Amino acid sequence: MSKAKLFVCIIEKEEKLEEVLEGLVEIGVTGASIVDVRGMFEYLADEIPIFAGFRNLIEDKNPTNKMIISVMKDDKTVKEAMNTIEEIYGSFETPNSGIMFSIDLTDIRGLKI
Amino acid sequence: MKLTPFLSSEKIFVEFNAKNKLNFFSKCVDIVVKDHPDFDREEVLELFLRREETMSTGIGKGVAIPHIVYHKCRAHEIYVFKLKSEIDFNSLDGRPVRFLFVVIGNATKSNLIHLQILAKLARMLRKDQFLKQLFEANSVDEILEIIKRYE
Repeated sequence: MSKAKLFVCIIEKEEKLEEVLEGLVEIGVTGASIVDVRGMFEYLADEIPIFAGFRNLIEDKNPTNKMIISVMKDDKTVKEAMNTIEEIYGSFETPNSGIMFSIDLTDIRGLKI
Repeated sequence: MKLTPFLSSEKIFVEFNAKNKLNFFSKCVDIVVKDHPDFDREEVLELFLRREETMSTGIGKGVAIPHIVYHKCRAHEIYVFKLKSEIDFNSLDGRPVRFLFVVIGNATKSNLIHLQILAKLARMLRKDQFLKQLFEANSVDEILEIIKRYE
């Protein structure tokens, strides 16, 4: 099986995105996709009228979050990426700050890693 | 990634005189070519000017990071200039430039080192304390010391 991992990171504080990406480049991660995403709770509050009252409960008024998706060569790179991101962004232990995880990849095409 | 392997005190200049952006690049390239006699002065100057046409490398807060890859360059180098007087650089925030980190690299397939140097500089320059100390520094040794402290 390939050692490659799919790394996914979703951050709430969009203003930190540029610095997070700079940090990833610094450790040698230069390939990733950046996607605008909306959390389920935000979607409910903004799109489904019955849940509209929940908008006031969301501290972050920004309606979207940023998702970074990257195929990384191994677990060591993933750990380094996670540490770098937390160093820049702050701990992910803080509620509603964001999430990150990685999963094993088996078959990959179109990418040299 | 640390910046000091690409730097040396001989490549740091304080109280550097430049009348304007073009004059800066002209004088900067003279220094680079003096260090590398095999470089073609006009080619290097053209690369810097062409890069500026795409978008100014004045990233704001009085700092610019002009950067090129040049086929005759064998290893990455950073030249640092603190100008005697600010010059207009069409910076992103409209402010004149006083401090320049000039990066010259060798062309590789991934340009990874080039990207890493730019990312490192960009992150360091986000720190207000780093900038403040750089702007207050008056000697080559001081500047080198500050960079070492924050890299």
